[in-house]
Amino acid sequence: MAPSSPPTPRELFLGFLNVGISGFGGVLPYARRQLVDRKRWITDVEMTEMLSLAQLLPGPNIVNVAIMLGTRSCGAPGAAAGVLGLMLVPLVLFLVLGAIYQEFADVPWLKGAFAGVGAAAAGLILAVGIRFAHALKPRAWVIALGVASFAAIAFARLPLPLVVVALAPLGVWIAWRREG
Amino acid sequence: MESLADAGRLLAHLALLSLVSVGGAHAVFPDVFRLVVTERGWMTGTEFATLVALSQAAPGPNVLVIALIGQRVGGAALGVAALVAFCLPSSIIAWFAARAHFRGAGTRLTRAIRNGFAPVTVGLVLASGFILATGTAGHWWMYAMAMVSTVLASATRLHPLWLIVAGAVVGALA
Repeated sequence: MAPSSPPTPRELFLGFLNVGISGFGGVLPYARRQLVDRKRWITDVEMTEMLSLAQLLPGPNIVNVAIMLGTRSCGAPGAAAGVLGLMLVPLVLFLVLGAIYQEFADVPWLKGAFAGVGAAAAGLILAVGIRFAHALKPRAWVIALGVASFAAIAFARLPLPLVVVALAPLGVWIAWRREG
Repeated sequence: MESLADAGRLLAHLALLSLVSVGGAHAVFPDVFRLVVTERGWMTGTEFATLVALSQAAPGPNVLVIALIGQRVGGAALGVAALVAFCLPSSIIAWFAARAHFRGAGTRLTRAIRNGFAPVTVGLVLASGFILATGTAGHWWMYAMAMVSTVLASATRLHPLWLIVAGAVVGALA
């Protein structure tokens, strides 16, 4: 499975357009299928590497993947083409759905349905965190940092910038020392 | 929303959160919730949860929920502006990081950043899910639905769409 030649901005736009409109409840699995299996722009190993870098950077993971793949293929125009392809069509769809929702927000059974979807969605987000957690090495400092960031937001209700600025450098420092 | 100042406040807040949004849009829900619901009262907690739910139920990147929130606060134009404000700062960082990465810069530092950030990210995402599950739930069945969805989504390969559909059906009948 040799990778094909690097995609042009136009191909990136269309490729990510396909990713953007197919994902229900998160587009990452579709991104792998599209970019690795169908287009063969990157290998499975490269995809995993890009994803792990995308996860540690701020910003949505899939947007960061589009920027990285676009930058590698053809610089800033490629990154812009990937992100626009990813966002444009779903953005229009979302704004239409949002407008419809505001029209019908008071219909009782619809209200209940949305509340149910909200509960299911909260569970999906918790599951994302649990899957992340499984990938971590169960060291004492790792658990302590995870618990600290959870408690700081969930219970102490501290602002996110404060929590990240306090805990992320601490984590990097410990990880750096451990490896040295 | 009352004024341009309100729009500016929302956009500035999102741009700031963008810089620390390790874990993506999921990680910033508690902070966005605090601004738009608790502090400014631009929408109710239930409306906020519904917009998050809508973003999970529709095809597309989850980050588009930011556009829905902006739209609810001040119309479609503010929705687009909110999405840009939230995506642009982090995208610029990602662009620089990608260029450095493909030049093979700082492997040990990259590893240390990855290993050091990972536990914090996990904590942030779990806290977000926790606040969404508990902060807006009014009925016992909503807690139950959130728990069932957590267990099935993390322990099985069940497609998320089924859980969304199940949530909608249970909610409509409850």
